[in-house]
Amino acid sequence: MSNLIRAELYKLQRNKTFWVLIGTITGLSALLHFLILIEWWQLSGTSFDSAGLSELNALSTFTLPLFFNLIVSTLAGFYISNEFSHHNVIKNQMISGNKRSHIFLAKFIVFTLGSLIVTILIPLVIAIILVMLFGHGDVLNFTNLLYLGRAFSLFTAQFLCFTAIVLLIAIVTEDSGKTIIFTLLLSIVMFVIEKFLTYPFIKMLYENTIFHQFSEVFKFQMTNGEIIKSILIASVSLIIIMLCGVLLFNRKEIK
Amino acid sequence: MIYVALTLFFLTLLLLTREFVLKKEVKKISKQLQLYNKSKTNKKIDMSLLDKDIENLGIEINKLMDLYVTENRKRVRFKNEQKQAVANMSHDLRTPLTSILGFIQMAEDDDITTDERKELLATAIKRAKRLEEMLKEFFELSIIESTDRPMKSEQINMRNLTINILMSFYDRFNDKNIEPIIQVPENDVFIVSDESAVTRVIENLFSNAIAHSNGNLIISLEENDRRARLIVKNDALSLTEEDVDRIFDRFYMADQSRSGKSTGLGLSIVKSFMEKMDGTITGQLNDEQLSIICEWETVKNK
Amino acid sequence: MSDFILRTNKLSKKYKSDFAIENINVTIKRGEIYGFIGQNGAGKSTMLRLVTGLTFPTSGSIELFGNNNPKELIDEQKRTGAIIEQPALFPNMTAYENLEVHRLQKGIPGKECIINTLELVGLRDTGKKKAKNFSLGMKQRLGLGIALLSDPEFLILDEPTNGLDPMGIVELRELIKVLNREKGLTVLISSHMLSELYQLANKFGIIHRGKLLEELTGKELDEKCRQHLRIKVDDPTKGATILEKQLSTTDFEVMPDGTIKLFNFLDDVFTVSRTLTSNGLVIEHLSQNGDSLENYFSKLIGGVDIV
Repeated sequence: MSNLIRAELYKLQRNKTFWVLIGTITGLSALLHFLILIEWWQLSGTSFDSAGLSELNALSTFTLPLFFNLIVSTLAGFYISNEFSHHNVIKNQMISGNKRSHIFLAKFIVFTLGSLIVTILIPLVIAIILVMLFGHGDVLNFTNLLYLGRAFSLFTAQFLCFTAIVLLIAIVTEDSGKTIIFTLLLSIVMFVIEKFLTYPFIKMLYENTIFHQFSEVFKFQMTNGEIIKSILIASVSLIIIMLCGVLLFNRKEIK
Repeated sequence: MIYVALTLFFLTLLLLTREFVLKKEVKKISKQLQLYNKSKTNKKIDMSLLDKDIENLGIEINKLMDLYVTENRKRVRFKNEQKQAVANMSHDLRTPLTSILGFIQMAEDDDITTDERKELLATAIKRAKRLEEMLKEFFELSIIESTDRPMKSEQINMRNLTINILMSFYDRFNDKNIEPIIQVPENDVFIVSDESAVTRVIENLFSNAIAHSNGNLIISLEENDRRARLIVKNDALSLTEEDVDRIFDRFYMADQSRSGKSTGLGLSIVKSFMEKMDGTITGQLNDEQLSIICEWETVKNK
Repeated sequence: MSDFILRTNKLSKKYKSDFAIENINVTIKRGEIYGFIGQNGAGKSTMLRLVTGLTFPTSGSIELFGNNNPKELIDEQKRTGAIIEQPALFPNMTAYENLEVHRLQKGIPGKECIINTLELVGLRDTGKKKAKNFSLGMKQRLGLGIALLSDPEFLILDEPTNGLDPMGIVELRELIKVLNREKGLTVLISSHMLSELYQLANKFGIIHRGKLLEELTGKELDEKCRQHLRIKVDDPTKGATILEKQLSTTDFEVMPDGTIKLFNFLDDVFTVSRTLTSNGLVIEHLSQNGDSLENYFSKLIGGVDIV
């Protein structure tokens, strides 16, 4: 298992798309944070505002499923799907004598790690650096740090489920283009449900998905019950998705 | 105080995990070795590549396995070769013996003239002689290959030796209208080896070339990089790459015609001698020309 | 250790309603080079896919290294190396990096094996060149390198000569032969041409339309394919002498049962029989045997078409 993870890391390090994403996101988040900090771009009503962290407003872009699904699906398309379609290297991995469930798990771990770095770590770190550089370091007081820690930990938990779903899409479609399109579709559908569908039943369902949680976890005030609920939603979803993934992967016929 | 306790706690946890991982790794390796030693598998060791030192252990174990496999294969191949040799021998002896018997049987016939009888017997004798030659060579081969024949170590001047042997082949070249092209260096080339073995190698190579050449023959001796190379090159129109692989095999005859020109053992003897002398021998086919190349290490003249 | 590297029992694979392969029983013993011959679409690749675990049988079972427990087959896969169809490479990595991924994946200790493998397949000097810039032949060789990296006991090659130039084919054959001889490597190699594997394999399985038509050893194939006259006379000793004396040929063999196999005069059977009878021999049997390889192959699969 550790060998498989190392092999995946080795591949990720040599994946062009991964580095392009890192470059793009670094540039983009630096720009957005900069625009927010010089108050050229003004956002209001974000959860960061209500926490008194309006300097970090640009982060709300990166925590929006409609936006970050593009990053994750691009990585999934060019790092996971291409192994199936384009170069067909997956078959070498399948006949290497490793259990398929281990292969799946290793891919999940490394793919998630890559996504986390690009989508969460880089914007967050750059935000903090810029805030310090612009002399607003004092907003990062203990309460706020606690808030950020809680919010991003819970966000990461939901994010794990999301990458698992995207991984599944990538493995099923076996094509980078389709992976991106289907992931985008999924996000749009979820967005539409959130904004426009008001049937109580669907609303109730939606409120118990990770997509709802993506915004919930950034609320400044969360009760213990809400935190536990969030963790439960993330872990139950993850277990279900991973079980489906392993089952699917185990039965997959490799072309 | 609480920080010290926490640090200690995590340190202990870290060390315990490490201990656990390493132990698991060692267990995994010993399990694989167990299967290997029980001959349940020939697979080399694989492992989690986490600890450099354990990885080094794995490297060394795998080297040991390589060694074991090589030795084992040698033994198996030797056994197979011997089996094959016996089978080939009985096969190759049967056909000439049958024809010898046939000629004698016909010679016994009362209705033939004396001349005819003489001719039949002469053919039978010719065949029998070839058989005898073959057995002799086979015997020689088995002696070379048995370990108890020691090789002498004497300084040999390859240049003089090659020229001397060439002289003694003068008549045989003439008989077949072969005018060999000879390329020998101007200075002496010295090697340390067994002179009678080297002589036999060169003689066999020449005989083989005479038997198969149709006029063209290039014999060259060269020295570079402290290696002496003797190259005998002749036409080999019908030879294929596959044949070249097998020319050193016992009883191998490229034309398969069993025409009686050779026994098929000459080059095997050459090869066995070369191996005994720690030299190398290779066959190469270029533009329908077969080159047999023998190499020895040279020494400075003392 | 089990002498059987691979055994399949009534192995079948159905795609939708058509059988890609049906009831295939092959047996490969340790040390064999098994040539798997069939036209394109005969089911060779399906078979090799099943053996390597890329797809799963509809019915029947596979036994690798004497182990037929489906759950443990994956462990036995570690002892095999394979190229199925085109070699699968990471296009943006060098030959070395491609092998390193597989070394990590398989947990082979030491990077030495990468250098040795590159040397073995003749790619040592490719340096920083990326796999996508390789020629087809180089790709094939790197694919072979990946398959050989872990020093497997069983090598599975699916049409490995596709895209190789004649020189490359000779080199590949040589390499397989050397590995077979020096390490006892067992090889399963598929091809659509019998003649291509004739020089290499020592056992043959012929597959057509998903069915295994025949399984035979190299010797048996030779028997069927070297053209000769089979002569049986009442006195083989005399027969041999007459052939040698009157037809001036020595290109014959006397078999242990007294049958003479004559390798020339194939188109002049009349002369042979007249010469033998005029010398007072009684011919008990005289027949022309053997067929060219391709003839033999097309007759075999042609026979099925008619039925």
